[in-house]
Amino acid sequence: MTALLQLTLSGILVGCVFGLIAMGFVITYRSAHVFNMAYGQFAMVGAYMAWTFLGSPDSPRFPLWLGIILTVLFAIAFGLFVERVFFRRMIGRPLFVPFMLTLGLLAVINSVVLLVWGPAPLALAQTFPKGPVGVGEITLPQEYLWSFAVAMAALIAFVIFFRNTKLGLAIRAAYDNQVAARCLGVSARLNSQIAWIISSLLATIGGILIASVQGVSPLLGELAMSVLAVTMLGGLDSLVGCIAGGLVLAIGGNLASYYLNPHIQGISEVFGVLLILMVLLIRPAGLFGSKSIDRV
Amino acid sequence: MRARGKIKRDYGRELAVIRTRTHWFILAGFLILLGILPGILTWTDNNSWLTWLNFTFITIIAVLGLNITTGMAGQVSLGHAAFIMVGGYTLGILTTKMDWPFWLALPAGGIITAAIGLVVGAPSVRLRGFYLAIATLAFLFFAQFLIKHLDITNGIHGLIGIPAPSIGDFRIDTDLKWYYLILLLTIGGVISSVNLTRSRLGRAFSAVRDNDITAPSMGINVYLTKVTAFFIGSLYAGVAGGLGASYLSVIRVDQFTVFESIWYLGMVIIGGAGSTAGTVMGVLFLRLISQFLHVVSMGSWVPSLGASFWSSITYAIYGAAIIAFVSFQPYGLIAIWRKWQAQYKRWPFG
Repeated sequence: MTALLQLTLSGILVGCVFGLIAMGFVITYRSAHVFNMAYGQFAMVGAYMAWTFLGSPDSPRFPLWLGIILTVLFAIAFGLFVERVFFRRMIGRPLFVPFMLTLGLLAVINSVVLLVWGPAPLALAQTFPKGPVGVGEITLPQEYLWSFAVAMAALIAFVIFFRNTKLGLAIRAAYDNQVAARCLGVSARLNSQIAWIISSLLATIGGILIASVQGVSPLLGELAMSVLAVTMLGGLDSLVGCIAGGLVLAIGGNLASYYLNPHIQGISEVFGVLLILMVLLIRPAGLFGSKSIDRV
Repeated sequence: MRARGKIKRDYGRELAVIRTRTHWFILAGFLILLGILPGILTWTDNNSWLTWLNFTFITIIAVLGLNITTGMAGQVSLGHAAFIMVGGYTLGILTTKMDWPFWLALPAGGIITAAIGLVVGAPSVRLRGFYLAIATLAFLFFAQFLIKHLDITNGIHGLIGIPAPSIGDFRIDTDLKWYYLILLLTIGGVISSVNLTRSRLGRAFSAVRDNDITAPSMGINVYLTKVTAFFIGSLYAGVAGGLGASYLSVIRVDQFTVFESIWYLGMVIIGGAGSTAGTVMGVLFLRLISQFLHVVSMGSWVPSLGASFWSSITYAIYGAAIIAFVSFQPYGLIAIWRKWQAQYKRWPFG
């Protein structure tokens, strides 16, 4: 029983981080109609840049606050760069074209990161206090709690941005109807830029949160598969679905690795894949997605 | 006075692939060239070109299959590497564990892969576009998982000692003998692919690709067409996988990564989706880049930077090539070729 509770609780903490990361994927899908297969690589670049600014535990470089600010600035610049260079010319093209472009981008970013930083995993300088935290019989790593707190803070910030600011309202209007929003004076270009900046920011935050637990390595790119599982489960165009999908993926993955792994070896590594297959076969629109979006 | 231009007196002549006497001459010359190509390439007694050629032809067979699924019928598949893997493993298991002859195992591998393609393609009636791409990607990961954990596939160690084909005492064991076998199969694959585009099925493929809502109004069974596209595409993949496994005589699960799938899709796009000639061009384009980088990396004037450096560079250039073509030449190399052809025909009139 303790094990179940422990797994569920750590699943909730990790799941919210997954949900936050997946939101960045959904935002570009909704506003720019780009199905970003290179999203995991965005997170990877963000984590590596954080490592560059923060350094490893043995040789820290900048203080934490400066490093984080620099990384965030880089993420914004990266989002703008990607939008301007690659995706602005994709507006109005058939959806398969930007999809293919993100696959090429995936390969390029992956190789550039390998060339610059090498394939060996790197330890990120301490961002959160480490050590276990005990609640009754349950012990959780402290980083999980801090990641959860950061994810929640970012989540609330984005909710406020989308609900209570004029720009957020404009972006939501454009999600619903691009043409009508443009008639009312919402700039499509600004929208697309904002979407890519948010996407890059969320990917970077997620990359750092995950890297602070498991280190910076090219394996971070495989995050894309988890993100795909989360978004497929939650529905491609639903932000609420992201959180729900993240929770299901993380809790389910935890339980599967604990209860099923002894019987079926390696089942936990394909848990996300099985989830994707199941969702696609049973309910392709996901839990919260709208039905009409499966037209391409 | 002789009539100017080419006059087609019947419909068959209009449809013919090889329309004029010049075409026949060019074709004959091209086939002779392909026949003596190993002699030319091994002139500088460098066997690596022959190996390159064999792998390129195997890749052409594989990508022709993807071109049918994705280029002609529009069903985006990121799982093509998985089909090739299944074909290779089927041949490997049949020949090493059950002592089937190569000549039976190769078609069996193709058929089994195609049957699996049917299963994977079955949800394509509900899943469109990205969703299908993700489903096929998930299938790739799932197939890798199965092969890693099954006993019959030797797990991550893979199969070794897959025998080379033989006819009686004549064993196909050198690169040169392999070349002619692979060449024959590639030509067969190209001819069937070209003819497929001209058949009812091929036209049904394009109709479904262009709009699968209007296709049924022309009497096309959309579901059957999509599934058939997967069937034929994975048939090609299975044969190519079997050939590759037998040619290398080993097969391992880590040969078949997501990146392989991406390159195959990239080859289809770079060549020009839906066109057989374009596909061949696309494969040659990426394979030539890879061989060029290989030659450069072997050069004595290049500092030794390690294999991982060169594989990263190759991947980066492949990715950049895909991005460049998608951004600036989305109809691929075949579109450039057709433009030249049209200009040549009109010359000197504009």
